[in-house]
Amino acid sequence: MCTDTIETCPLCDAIEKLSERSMSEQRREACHRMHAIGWPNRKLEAWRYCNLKDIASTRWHPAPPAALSQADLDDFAIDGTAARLVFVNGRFDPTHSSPLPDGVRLLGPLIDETPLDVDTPFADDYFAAMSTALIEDGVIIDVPAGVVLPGSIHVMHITEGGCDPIATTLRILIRVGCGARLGVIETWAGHGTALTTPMTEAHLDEDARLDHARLIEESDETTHLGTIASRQAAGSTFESAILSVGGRIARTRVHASLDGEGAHAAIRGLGMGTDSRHIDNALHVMHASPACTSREYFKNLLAGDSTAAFTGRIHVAHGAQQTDAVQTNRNLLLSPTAKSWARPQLEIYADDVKCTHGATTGEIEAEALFYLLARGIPEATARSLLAWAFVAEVVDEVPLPALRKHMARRMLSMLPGAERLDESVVSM
Amino acid sequence: MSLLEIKNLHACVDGVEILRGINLTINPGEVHSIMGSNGSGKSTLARVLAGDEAYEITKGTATLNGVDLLDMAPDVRAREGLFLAFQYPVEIPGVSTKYFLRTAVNAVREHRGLDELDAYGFLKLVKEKAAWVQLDSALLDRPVNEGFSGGEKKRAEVFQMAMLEPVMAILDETDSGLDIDALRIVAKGVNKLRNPDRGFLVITHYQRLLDYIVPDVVHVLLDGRIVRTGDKELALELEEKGYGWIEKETSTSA
Repeated sequence: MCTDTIETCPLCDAIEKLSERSMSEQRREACHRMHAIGWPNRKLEAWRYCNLKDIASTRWHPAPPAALSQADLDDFAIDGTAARLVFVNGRFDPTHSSPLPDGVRLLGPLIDETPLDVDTPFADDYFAAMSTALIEDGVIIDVPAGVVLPGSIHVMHITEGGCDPIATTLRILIRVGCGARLGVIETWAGHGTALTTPMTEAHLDEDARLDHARLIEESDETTHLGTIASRQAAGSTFESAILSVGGRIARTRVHASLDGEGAHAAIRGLGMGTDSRHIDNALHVMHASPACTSREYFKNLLAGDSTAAFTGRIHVAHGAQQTDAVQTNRNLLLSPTAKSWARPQLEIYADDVKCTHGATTGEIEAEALFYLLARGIPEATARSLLAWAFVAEVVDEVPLPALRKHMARRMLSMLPGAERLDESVVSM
Repeated sequence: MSLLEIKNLHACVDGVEILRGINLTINPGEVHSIMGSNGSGKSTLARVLAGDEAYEITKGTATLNGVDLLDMAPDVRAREGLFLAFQYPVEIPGVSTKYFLRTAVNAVREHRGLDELDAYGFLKLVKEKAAWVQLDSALLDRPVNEGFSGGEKKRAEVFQMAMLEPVMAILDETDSGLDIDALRIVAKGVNKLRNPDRGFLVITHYQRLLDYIVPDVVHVLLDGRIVRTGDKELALELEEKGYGWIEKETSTSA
């Protein structure tokens, strides 16, 4: 079924191997969709800053089942979560997972009867289609109306690479009922040459609240191309934090749709670029109803030859009056060869609207540096401290305490010059 | 030996000469005040002494305890005992005041050959010095200067000064934006720090502060030069007659 050359479809091998196994109709259809969309290139607006050449020339294989050692988990565990669900190479690992909490089911056994990609905002996305084509398992979380789930559910995906480059994915489907409340943290980590394409879809009913985070802590050999979609009914709140601290490419495409009146979405991003890593966030916030608020705060700390791109589209539909949308992207460059690009895109079809956006790229602020120096703090320490300050400001705003601590420690461990700081700089 | 000795100091910013030959000698234990109208070069002098790289020194010298000050990096000057209380203290979100200050105190202590303060010793010192300027120690868990009121920022500057125990302290318009109660608190903190070994340079636009921090010597700065030096009576005279009086006299004598 797959006759394209490697240049146009690097996943031919993967798909062919999949097709040898039993494959559901919707996954087969996803394969066709991949072909129809075609391999993305940098001439396409959405991929302009993301170099996919290396993945195009790699022969990917569907990730085989693999065993996991406890040591692999420890580094990415988060204290104080209510449940931990571990997936290895796209498959559930019951040994390392806690019992499934009420309202949580595995997608694997239900995959043929669960409609995927219904109403997806990513119909044009090659890697979203690939995610469905490759899918083995996932999580379905359904919180009934009025239920407040204590703590957060931590979904960990660990890639265990072998000799061959592998492609793997996971689907998380979330529904939060009227007035219900849920916290979900995703971790993406592992080792070996891998391509991961996670997709999370969240539906929030009226007055529901979802606190979500995706922690991209992948190895340097991994390319991470993920998607997040949310749909919100009236009065609901969606908070999401995307931590991009791993992967040679960490790209996240977010589509947040504010469908009901007075819905609120706050999406934060924190990226740390070292070596030649690329961090890419592409957001589309859709204000479909009146009186909704959206906040996008994205910050990247870039060292070495790393690069970061931020694309933020805010669409305010006809009649979506009293829209209040704020978008900021700030980049702190710690080296002369680091680069960043920001592209705000506003499409406004209502007249009573407050929409602000701002993007800055710069070095450490001279006055702040002078202030620290004037207190006797050596320059190298002062620079590390100000780089930390840039990061900590975002971490402080993350609503889940266990996550704040984890994020702070992770960022501190990666911060250039962190050895000049004391662990007590993490104040939470 | 004099504590701070400035000779014929000239400094430019963006090619414009702001300081045009400053001569000033401060001996241990003395409090000097520099007064002057806006744009006379008061803050420039403060920042040049602290090592702000935005300014270019074109001529002259400055020494601290006989050692060339202008040759030192700003952080070295601070560790050698120079302190600048900023006119506009900088907010640093994401770093707690306590962490910032402990880093500074220990950098200074290391330079002076003292052991690092441990957490207990540091907090004890914080408690003692914060009381001097009636600073709520809960404020010190907050990010540096973030969400501080104008008065709290200025009190925090004096508190930092008390923590770092400088040999030469420069206060750059520490009175600006303070109401009379805050002014008294700040002045009380400064007066507690006065001792026979320590020098102060108090920069102010108004005489008011000098009612509370009584100076030994008052200088008037005009167009980047000290045009008049006197005792505290000079400040009162200025308050009464305004800066125009000095400007007129200076232009006549020139």
